[in-house]
Amino acid sequence: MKTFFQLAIRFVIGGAVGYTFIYVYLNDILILPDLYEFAFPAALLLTVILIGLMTWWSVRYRTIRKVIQQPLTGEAEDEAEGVMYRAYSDNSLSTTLMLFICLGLMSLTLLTEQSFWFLSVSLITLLVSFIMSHLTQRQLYIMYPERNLPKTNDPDYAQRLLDVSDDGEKHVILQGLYKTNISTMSLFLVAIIVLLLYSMVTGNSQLFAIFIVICIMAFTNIQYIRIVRAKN
Amino acid sequence: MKTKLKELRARHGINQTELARRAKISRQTVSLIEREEFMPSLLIAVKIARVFDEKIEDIFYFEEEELQ
Repeated sequence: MKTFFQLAIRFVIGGAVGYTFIYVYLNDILILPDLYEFAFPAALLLTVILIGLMTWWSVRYRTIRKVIQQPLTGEAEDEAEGVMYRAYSDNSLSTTLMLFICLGLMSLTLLTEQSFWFLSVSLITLLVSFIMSHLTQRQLYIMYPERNLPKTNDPDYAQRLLDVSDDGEKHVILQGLYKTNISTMSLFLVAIIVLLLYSMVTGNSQLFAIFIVICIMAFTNIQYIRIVRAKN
Repeated sequence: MKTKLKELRARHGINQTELARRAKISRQTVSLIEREEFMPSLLIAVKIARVFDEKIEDIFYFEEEELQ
């Protein structure tokens, strides 16, 4: 019953969005939003998000340092290990998000000719995010000194890290990546549809972006099938 | 698959971190096995069994219907 309602809601939303876009397109109603108007508040918002992420990273970084310094035993040690693991995961996410937002801010600043200050902010935070990413990786050695973890400057770092992970960790990675892959592919499809509709409604062709997305989808799927196919 | 790992650990008075250290596996894996969210590989099962000096089948066991 729940699935039926979910399907019905999706059908109604999809129908409404599709009808609106086709109506706008067929009636030649061109919507040309002045994106330049939103560029300044958007750049400001991205800067605030960047500052927020940096602060969050610092808090979680200090959490790990504090936990490492505590001599714990028994259940408390297990709990502390869990806290440390979650803080490390948060920091990995923070640095990745910072990198994406920095690139977004840089693109916005350059394409909409925003103040030089935003470009400086994005360049500085880009540098800071690299340093934070490096510090996050280094913390891993302090958290797990007994493990034979690869060096951060290892050219094959990702593969080596996977090699030293045990089966339980690989199981968690697989679950995470499998779910991420499914949502990524669905979101890419939605992105193509949104870009197509945007192009039709505004008359501002997004064909280049559509082809880039298609290339990424094709490449990742070919890569996956190539790996799976070889292990017969 | 069911496991007596948690009881065994309590009996020996060692926490997950210590077991992970002794068996040379991650604490995350110990936690997953105890919550029965992950079936350990033969290698991990042997490593855990060695820590407690027990047989694998005394720590990990299956319900009859799982073996059908």
